Amino acid sequence: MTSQHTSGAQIVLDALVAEGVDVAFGYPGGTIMPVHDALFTDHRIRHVLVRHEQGAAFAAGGYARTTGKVGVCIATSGPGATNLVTGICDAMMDSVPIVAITGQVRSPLMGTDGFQEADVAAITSTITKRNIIVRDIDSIPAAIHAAFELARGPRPGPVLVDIPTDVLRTKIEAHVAPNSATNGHAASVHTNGESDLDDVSVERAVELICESKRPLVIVGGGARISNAVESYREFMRLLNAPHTATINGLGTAEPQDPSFLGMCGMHGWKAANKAVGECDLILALGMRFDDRVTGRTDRFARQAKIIHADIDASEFNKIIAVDVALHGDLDAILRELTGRLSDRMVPDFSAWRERVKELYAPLPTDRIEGNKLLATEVLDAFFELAPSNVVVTVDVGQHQMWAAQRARPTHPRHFISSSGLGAMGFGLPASIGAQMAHPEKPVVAIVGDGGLQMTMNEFATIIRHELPVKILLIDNRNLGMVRQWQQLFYEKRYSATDLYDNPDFVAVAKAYGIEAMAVDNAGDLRPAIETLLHSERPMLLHAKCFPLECVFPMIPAGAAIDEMIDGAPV
Amino acid sequence: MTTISVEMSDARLGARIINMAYRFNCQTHEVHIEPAAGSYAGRFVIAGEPDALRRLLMAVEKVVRDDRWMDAAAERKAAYT
Repeated sequence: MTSQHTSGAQIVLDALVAEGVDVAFGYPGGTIMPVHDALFTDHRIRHVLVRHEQGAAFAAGGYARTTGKVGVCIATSGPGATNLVTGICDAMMDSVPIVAITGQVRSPLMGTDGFQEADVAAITSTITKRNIIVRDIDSIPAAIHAAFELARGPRPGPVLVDIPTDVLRTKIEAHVAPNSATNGHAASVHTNGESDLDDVSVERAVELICESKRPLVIVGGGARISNAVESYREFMRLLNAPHTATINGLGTAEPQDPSFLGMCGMHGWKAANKAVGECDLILALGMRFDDRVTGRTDRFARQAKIIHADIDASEFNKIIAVDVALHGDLDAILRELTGRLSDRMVPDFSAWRERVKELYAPLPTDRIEGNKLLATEVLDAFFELAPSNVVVTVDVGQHQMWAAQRARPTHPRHFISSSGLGAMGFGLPASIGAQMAHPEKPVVAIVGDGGLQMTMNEFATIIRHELPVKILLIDNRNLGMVRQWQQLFYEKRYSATDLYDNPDFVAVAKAYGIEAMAVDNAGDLRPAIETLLHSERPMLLHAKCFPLECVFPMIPAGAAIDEMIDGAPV
Repeated sequence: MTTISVEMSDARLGARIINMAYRFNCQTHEVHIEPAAGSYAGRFVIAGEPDALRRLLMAVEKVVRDDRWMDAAAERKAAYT
C-alpha cells in the first residue's frame, strides 16, 4: 500500500478501467481538459479523437452494438455536451449501452449561465436511462460504476455522467493498493437480472404454439442484446416455421435458413409482410412493435394470437395487445421454450411453409433506359461479393432499406443501423467504433450522399487512427427517401431534396488521405467493389447512381402491413 | 383521473413524470413530493384519455425501475469503496 496524490480526472480513468474500458471516443474542451490531461500519460485507455462530438457518440454506439460492451464517449460542457445529444438519443431508441462523460463548468458557476454552460442533465433527461451530476471527488467511483451497471441492463441504454471541472481537478491523497484500479469489480458483468418468467405463461405459450397451424416468429434487436443467437437458431430448427426479423434482428437467423423470410415492415419482403397477415400466431421475440414494423396497428395480424417475449415489461401491450407476455432475458426464454417443446410433439407446419413459399415475390427493381447504375444493382453486387464476416454499418435513408432488404449477415452484430431514431450521419462514425472493436474484420460503411455530408469530417479520424474502414457511397444526388415520399405522397413537389451541387466526393476523400474511386456504370461495378473489399487501407467507392430509384416494396403510411405497393403510380 | 404514487430516490423523476404526462396529452392536476426515509414519496393526480393514462403508467414504471436499479448499483459500489 502506497500513498500518493490523485485527481478527480485520474479517478475517472481508474473507474473506467475498472469497468473494462480500453477505448473511448472523445473531443477535448475547457471543462473536460483534466480528463484529457490525465489521458496524456495514462495509456490504459485508447482515446479516439473524433472531429465532432456527435461522431464520438455514434462511434461509441458502433463499438457497443458490435461488441455488447459499453461504449464510452467524452465531451466538454456546453456545445460539446449538446453535440452528443443525437448519438445519446440513438442509443436510447435502440437500447445500446453507452456512457457519456461530460465536463461541466465549475460548481460555483453552475446556474449562472457561465461560459459553455448547459444544463445537460436536464437536456438529456428524456434520452438517457438516467444521468448524474457528480458533486464531489469521493462520489466518482460509485457514480461511474452505477452508470455502467445501468447502461448494461437489464435493457441496455445510455447513461450520462456530468462532472464539474473543479471536481475533476481536485486532488486528494489516495491510498492505492497495487492494481486496485483494475480490480475489475464489475468489469465483465452483464446483468441480465430482472426476470419474472413464470411457469404458467411459458406453459401457455407452448400450448399456443402447439395449437397453432400458421405460426410466424418475428425476432428483433433483443436477440442481439441478450446474446440469444444460438438459442434462437436452435429454437427455429426445432420449430421449423416461417420467421422474419425487424431491421435490428437481422443476422439472428441462419443466413441460409429457407424458412427465413427476410426483413418485415415498411420496406420488408412481401412474403414476410403477407405472412403477418395470414398467420394465426405471432411469437414476437425481443422486438417492440415499432410503427415501421406494424403499419396500421388495428389491422396488424388480425387473425393471430400474440406471444411477446421481452426484457422490458413496459413493452407489453404498449402497441399491440398480447395474449401471453414472457418477461425475461430472451436467451433464457428461448432455452426454456426449446426444452419444453422438445418434450412434446412439435406440430408439422409444412403446409404453412408451402403457403408462405407461394407468397414469395422477388424485390422489385426499377427499369431504366441505358447503362445508368442502379443503387440496388450496387448493393446486390456488394452483398454477393462481401465476405461472410463483413461488418456493415449503414446510414439512414434509401440505401439503408435497400441494404437491409439484401443483407444476409451471419450475426446481428454484423449489421449496424440507427433504426429507432433514424439518425442521418450515423453510418461513418459507427463504422469507426466497429473497426476499433474489430480490427481483424472487414468493416464497410454504406452511406448515402446526404448522410455522409453530415459526418464526413470523420474521414480525419479514420486516417489518424489508421482504420481500414471501407466506405460505399450510394450517391443519387438526392435526399432520396424524402424525395421518394414527395414523389409518392406530395404530388412530386420536390422541395429541398435535390443535392445537384454535391461535392466531388473522391476529391474530398483524397484530401483527407483516403483512397477513392468512382463508378458510374454496371460494367465497372464488380471490379470496383472487389477493389474496395480487398483494400488494406481505408477506401471510398463513390457509386454514382440513377437519381430517381425508389425503395419497394413499401407500405404507405397509414396502410396495413400487407398492403404493400411495388412501384410508383405512372 | 388517476393517482400515481411512486417512491423515488431521485426527486427529478417528479419533473420527468410531469413532462411525460404533458407529452401523452394528459393534464397534471396535483403534485406532491416529499422526503421519505432517504428517498422521496411522489403523488401525482393526472387526467387523460384511458389509453394515454395506461401508456403513461407503463412509462412511469419504467423510469422508476431504472431509478431503483441505478440507486442500488451506486449503493453497492459505495459499500466496497
